[in-house]
Amino acid sequence: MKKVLVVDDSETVRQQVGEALSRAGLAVVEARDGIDGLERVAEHQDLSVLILDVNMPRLNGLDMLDRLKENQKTAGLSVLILTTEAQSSMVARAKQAGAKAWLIKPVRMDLLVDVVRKLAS
Amino acid sequence: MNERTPRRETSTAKLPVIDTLLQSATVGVFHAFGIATAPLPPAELPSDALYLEFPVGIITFKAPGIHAALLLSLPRALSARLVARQGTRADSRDLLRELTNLIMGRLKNRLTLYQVTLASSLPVCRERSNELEGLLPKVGPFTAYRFRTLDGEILLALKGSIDESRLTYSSTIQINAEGDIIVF
Repeated sequence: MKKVLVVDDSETVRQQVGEALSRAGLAVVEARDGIDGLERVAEHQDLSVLILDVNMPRLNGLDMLDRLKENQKTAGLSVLILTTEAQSSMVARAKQAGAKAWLIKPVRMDLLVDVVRKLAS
Repeated sequence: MNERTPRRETSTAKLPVIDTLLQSATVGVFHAFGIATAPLPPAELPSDALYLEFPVGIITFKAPGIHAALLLSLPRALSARLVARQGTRADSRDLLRELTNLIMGRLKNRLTLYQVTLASSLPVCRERSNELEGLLPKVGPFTAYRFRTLDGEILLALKGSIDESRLTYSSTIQINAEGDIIVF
C-alpha cells in the first residue's frame, strides 16, 4: 500500500486530507510542522508522496522541501505543496526546489487524491 | 473589548477596496465549507462596541502602508455545525484558525492584483478579550464585517491601518485561484 505523509499545522486539514487518502486506499502518516515532518520521513522509509503546507511553525514547508532535496536519501521523494499561498515567487521556488505540484486551498479532495495517485504510481 | 455590550454603529464605512476584498473572501471561504452567507454593510466601531463571540481566530498582516489584523468570530451554532461535519477529530479552535487562514489567503492573493505583497502571521485562537491586547495593532479603527447565516452572524473584524492610496490595480498581473492545481 502506498504511503503518504501529510504535513500541516492544522489538524482540520490533516484530518480532511488523511481521510480522503485513506478512503482511496492509501496509508497516511501525519506531521504538524516541518521539524515533525522530517522526523516522520526518517522513520518511514517507504513514503511515496509528501504533502506539505507552507506556513507552519518551527520549519515551514518550503524550507522543509529544501532540506529534503539536499539529502540524497530523500531527494527523490515526490512532494506536493498544499497551501493558501498563491504568490508566483513561492510557486517558482517550489518548482525550482523539485516539488511536483502546487495546490491552492481549499482544494477538492477528489482532485487532490488524483494528483497523489499519479505521483505515487 | 466588551463581550456583552450590544453593537452600536457609529459610522458606515466607505466601500473601499479592502471592504470588497474581505467580504468576497469571507463569502467564498464559507461557501467552500457549504455555508451560505449574506454580507451586511461594514461599519467602523469603537472597541467597546465590538461584540465578539469567543474563541476568536486572529491573524496579523503587514506590507508597506499596511499594519492590521483580522479577527474571526463565529456564532456557537455555526461552529457546532461545522465541527459536526468535520467528524470525530474535529477541534473547533483549529477549525477557526484554518478559516481565518483561508480568508487571509484570499486577501493576500487578491491584493497581489493591487501590487501588494502581504506578510502574515500564523493564525492563532484566543479565548478572552484580555488575550487580544498584545496581538492587535495599537493604531487604526475596528471595522466590523458581519455576515448573516442560517445559524447567526459571522463577524470578521479588521483592526489597524490600511493606506489604500498604495493599492494600484494592475490588469496585467496574473494570479492563481483557490482550488487551482499547478502540476510542474
